[in-house]
Amino acid sequence: MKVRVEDFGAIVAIDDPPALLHVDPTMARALGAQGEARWASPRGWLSAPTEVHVLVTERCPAGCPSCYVGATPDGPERPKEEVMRALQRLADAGVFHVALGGGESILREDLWEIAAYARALGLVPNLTTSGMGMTARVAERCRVFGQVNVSLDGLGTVYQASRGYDGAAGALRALRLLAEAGVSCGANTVLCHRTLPGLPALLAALEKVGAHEVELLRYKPTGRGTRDYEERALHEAEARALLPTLLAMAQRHPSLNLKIDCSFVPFLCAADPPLELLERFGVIGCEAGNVLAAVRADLQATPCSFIEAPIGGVDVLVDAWDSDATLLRWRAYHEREAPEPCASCPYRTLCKGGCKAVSVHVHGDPFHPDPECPRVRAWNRGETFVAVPLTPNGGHPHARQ
Amino acid sequence: MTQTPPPLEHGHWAQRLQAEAARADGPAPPLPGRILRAKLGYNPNSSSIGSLISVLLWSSAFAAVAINILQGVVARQALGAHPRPALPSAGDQHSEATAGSAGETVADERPS
Repeated sequence: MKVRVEDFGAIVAIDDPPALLHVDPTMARALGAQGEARWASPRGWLSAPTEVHVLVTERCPAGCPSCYVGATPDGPERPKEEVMRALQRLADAGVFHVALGGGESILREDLWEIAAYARALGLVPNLTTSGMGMTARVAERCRVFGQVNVSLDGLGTVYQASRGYDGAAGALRALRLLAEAGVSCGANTVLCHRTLPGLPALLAALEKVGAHEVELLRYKPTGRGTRDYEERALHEAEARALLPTLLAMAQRHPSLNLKIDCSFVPFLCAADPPLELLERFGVIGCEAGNVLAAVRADLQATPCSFIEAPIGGVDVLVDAWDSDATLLRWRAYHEREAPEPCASCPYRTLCKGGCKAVSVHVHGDPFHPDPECPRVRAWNRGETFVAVPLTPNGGHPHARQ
Repeated sequence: MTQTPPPLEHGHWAQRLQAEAARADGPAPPLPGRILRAKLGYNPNSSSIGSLISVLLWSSAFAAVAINILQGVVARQALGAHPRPALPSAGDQHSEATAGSAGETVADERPS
């Protein structure tokens, strides 16, 4: 158990079951934390990211047309000693989790040393992989990770349409090997106009191979993903119906954890879900530069993996966490800068303007309201936003007492 | 044909928390204070942060139960990790204004 002092009390990290818990000062004290100074003078942001995304390589032979880092077969990566030093700094700052990715991370022969080192530092390493090169032996070694997710956007032609080749069988095989090795595993699924129709079949296949989670990722126009963004982005009707659609699927597949990524929160909020419940269980929108930060393969830091402009080396995330102008602006956006319709949106403090990577691509400005947000679309047309019913019969499932 | 949906509290995390409560050997030691927010699971996605939406299928009552179960987990793990001094009793309220150590700490179990 790790306890980290924060404005509101502390964050408690537990591993069994894995969770990050925000607790009040009373509980924080009972757990040994001494945070009187911070509790007396709150700063308005976390003391460090809870997790940092670390690209350990930009090497990958797959050549997916939508790769957000533009990975190539001979993509760059830094020596393990430099990656380890970066991890040490993150651990020193109090970071809890690191998500290692690429490129194809498993191509790094020293990935296991890096992961073991993270463990020794008290960080929980998690992994994203395409599943390429997964064997029973590799799956066994993956037990060093808290969880491994395999990129899998759909089955057969859906995978082909998304990634340019059909790697679904390999990804499912990787998931089965991981599950058999006792590794907590799931799929990272880019949910776009092309892949949405294949989602029901994908969830059924994931259950069958023993995966326990699927995290749905919005299509983001960065790296090679800028090329066909307009064609692949979810249509407005699909975005508006996203939450009721997903909840119906969750009911059909109760053994799967259904997750959405931070960029989907504007779509989620189109159904007016209960804000208190979202907050209570850690549903978060754009927390770039606060809850999360990213480290590129060249070990330069950014507020988020999809933002290409670096703010400096990893040391910035530690030494300048409370003073870096870029980080401060990103965190304060929802309080100071948010224009309409975000300024008057009831979900502003949770959503925080939607995905800034999309706003950068469409408007050249990360602080422009997310152009795909259903509320923003209605505002741009001069219409009053009308929320979609959360369930097909118009009721809120959580309201059952 | 109308398909009957499964019970709403069924789901990976609901079952895991219910199992956690079931395996507990007696009531959790008292732990004062409150859990304000719970982010369940890891985020093995190296590009963005995931949020569990299955919780929106939980009833308000089960959401409260889930937090209580997690509080019990923390209490048991804390008792194992910090056997001395004993945890304060549930009625032992600390004052927010109490001047304690001025430092901020990260308490963990990492070997020094």
